[in-house]
Formats: sequence, structure tokens, C-alpha cells
Amino acid sequence: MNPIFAVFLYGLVTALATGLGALPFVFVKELSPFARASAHGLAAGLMLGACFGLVAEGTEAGATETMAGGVLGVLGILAARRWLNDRPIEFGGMSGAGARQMLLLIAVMTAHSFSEGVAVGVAFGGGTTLAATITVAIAVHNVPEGLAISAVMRSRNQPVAVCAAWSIFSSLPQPLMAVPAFLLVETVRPVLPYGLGFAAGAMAFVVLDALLPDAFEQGPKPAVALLASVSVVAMILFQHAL
Amino acid sequence: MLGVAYALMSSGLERGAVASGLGALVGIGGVVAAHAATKRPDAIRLGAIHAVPEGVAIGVAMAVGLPFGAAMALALAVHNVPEATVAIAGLTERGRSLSRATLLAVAVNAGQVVFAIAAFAVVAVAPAALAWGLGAAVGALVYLVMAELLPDSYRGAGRTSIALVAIVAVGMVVLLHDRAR
Repeated sequence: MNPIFAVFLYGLVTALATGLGALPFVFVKELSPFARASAHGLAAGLMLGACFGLVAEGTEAGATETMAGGVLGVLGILAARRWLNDRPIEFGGMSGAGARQMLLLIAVMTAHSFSEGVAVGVAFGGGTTLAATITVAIAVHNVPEGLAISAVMRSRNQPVAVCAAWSIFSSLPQPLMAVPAFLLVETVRPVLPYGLGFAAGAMAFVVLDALLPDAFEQGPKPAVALLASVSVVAMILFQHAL
Repeated sequence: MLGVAYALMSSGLERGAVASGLGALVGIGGVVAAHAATKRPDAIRLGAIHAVPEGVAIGVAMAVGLPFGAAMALALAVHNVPEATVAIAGLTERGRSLSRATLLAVAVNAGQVVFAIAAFAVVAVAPAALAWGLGAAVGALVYLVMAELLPDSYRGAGRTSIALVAIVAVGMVVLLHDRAR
């Protein structure tokens, strides 16, 4: 098989895995305010745990570069939000603040899979023979990310299929970015810590600016805090094990 | 505080992922239990609960290495300043003098010294406990951030400014941690 096609195919498999994150919501029909708050807390914890992984990987390549990327990520989200605020937004049959938040979440997760796609490509181009292992690792790692997106979207009464579709969409940059990164490994490698930092900064901002405060307003604080803390730890261990 | 947890967790994972993971669950459970047992939560009692994981964090970090422990102590010292400001403000509102309130706030955090030495001693005797201790400190600190610090801050200031300040603080600790390695 053509190696470029192989990289793309592997990347695509990892993207499709993200859709599996919507699966648990097939079994959850009604969402009480408590369940909604829990879903936000869960998503917040999973995303913070993912930031941990991004920062850990970025600092391996350069701590200062990663932090510079993080500053850019936060500024990028602030700019995106200002841009969205100036426009009437309709999304998933909703308008206003809810639609804006869902859109920002998807944008952030999509931006973060750009960096992950680059990471996949660099890993392949680094001459590793463990291509299949890396793909499986990223694919499995994408499932809780899909879960985070679906948890927020489902709590705003989006159908499960829509949650799954947007989850997959958010990971599509992975195959698209993996190929150029694979071809230009030596060019891309120095940029990688900036990209990882950018993704971490953007994600952390959305968690702290929107997901957590929303969760605290909707449900009992200790429950949200417990769920968020446990899911941070679980996500870190999960990524470490892969 | 999240930055401190990040630094501790990466050290813990190097020394045993399962032990630090289980340790984290113990840490979360410990704070949940301590909160449940506290009948009248005020700044002093809550401060005393904080002092335990913060002390353990410094102790286990010292056991990992002196530079790491010093960085940890510095980060937590900076974190203690605004925490004490809140506690002292609460006390003076209820009629304590400023000097007595300050003394009380320092006394509460003195528990950190005790727990730091205790954690360091335990790890010195039983090195296998290090990953557990690192994990437990992480779990407790993360839960405290989620259950107390963040909700309290959201009540006091806008979401965006809280998010920005928190991210800058985490970034500084991560850089500090990287230098200390």
C-alpha cells in the first residue's frame, strides 16, 4: 500500500472512533438538570485530562514553545468568540448563547485534532514501525473526546446521531493533517510544541470559561466537582496507559 | 494549584501509574470525607483541610528531589497568599483584630509543615509509598480546586477573567517545573 494513503487511512480510522463517544447517550433518554450538570462536569474533566497529555508531550519538545502556543490558543479562542458574538448564530435548531457555546466547543476540539493529526504524522515519519499501535492508541483516545462533545450537545437536546456526526467531524483534521506532517516531518517537528500548546490553551480556556461555570450553576457543586476530578485522573491514566 | 497537580502527577506516573491512580482516588475520597465531616465550614476549618494535601505535596515532592520540592513549596506559598487574604478578611469581619487573624491564618497553615515532614519521613522509610503519596496529593488538590476554589472564584469575578488567571498560573507552574527537572 502507498505509505501516504496508509497514513491517511490510519488517521481516518482514528477520526471515526470519535463517533463512538456518542454511544452511551443512545441509552440515556431524558436529561434532568442534574444529569446535564454531570455531563458538563464529565466533559470538563475529560478535556482537562487531555490538556495534561498535550502539555506533557509538548514540554518534552520544549516548555517555552508549548507555553507560547498556549497563549496563542487562548487569544485565538477569545478572538473567535468575539467574532461569533457579533453575528446572529443558529446551530442545531438553537440560537443565541447555547448555539454559540456548542459551536465554540466543536471549534476547539477540531483545532486540537489538528495538532493531534500533526503528532500522528510526525510519529509515522519518525521511522516508527509501530504504526498500527499508534493508530489504535489515538483511536481509543478519541472515544472520550467524542464523549465530551456528545455530553455537552446531548444536554442541549441534540439527537444522538447529530452528536456522533459532530464528534467525528471534530477529528477529521487528524487524517487531513497527518499526511502533510508525514511528508514534511523535519519541517513540522519544530512547530509541534507550539501546536500542542495552542490546543491545550484553547481547551483549558473553554473548560474554565464555559463548561465548569455552567456545570456549577446547573447542579450540586460536590457532585460536579467529584465527577470532574475523577474524570481528570481517569483521562490522565488512560492516556498514560496507551 | 492545577499546575502543581500536573507536576506531581507527571512525577507519579513515572514511578507507577496504577499506584498513583489509586492514590488519586484515595486523595479525592479523603477530601470528600473531610468535607462531609465538617459541620460548620468556615475559612479556618476549610484552611485546615487544605493544609493536609498541601503539606503532603511538599513532602513527596522533596522526596522526588530537592529542586522539585523547592519549586513545589514556592508554588504553594504563592497560592497561600490569596487564600489567607480571604480567611483573614472573614475573621476581621467577625471582630477579630488584624494581627490575631493573621496569626490564626498562619497557625492553620502550619499544619502543612507537620504533614510535609510526615510525608517525607514515610517515603524515606518506604520508597514504594512515593507514587501513592504523589497520587493522593494530586487527587486531593484537584478535588479542592473543583469543589472550592473555582466555584468561589466564579461567584467573585467574571468567568473569562478567572479562566485567564487560572491558565496563566498553571502555565507558570509548568515552566517552573520544567526548570526544576
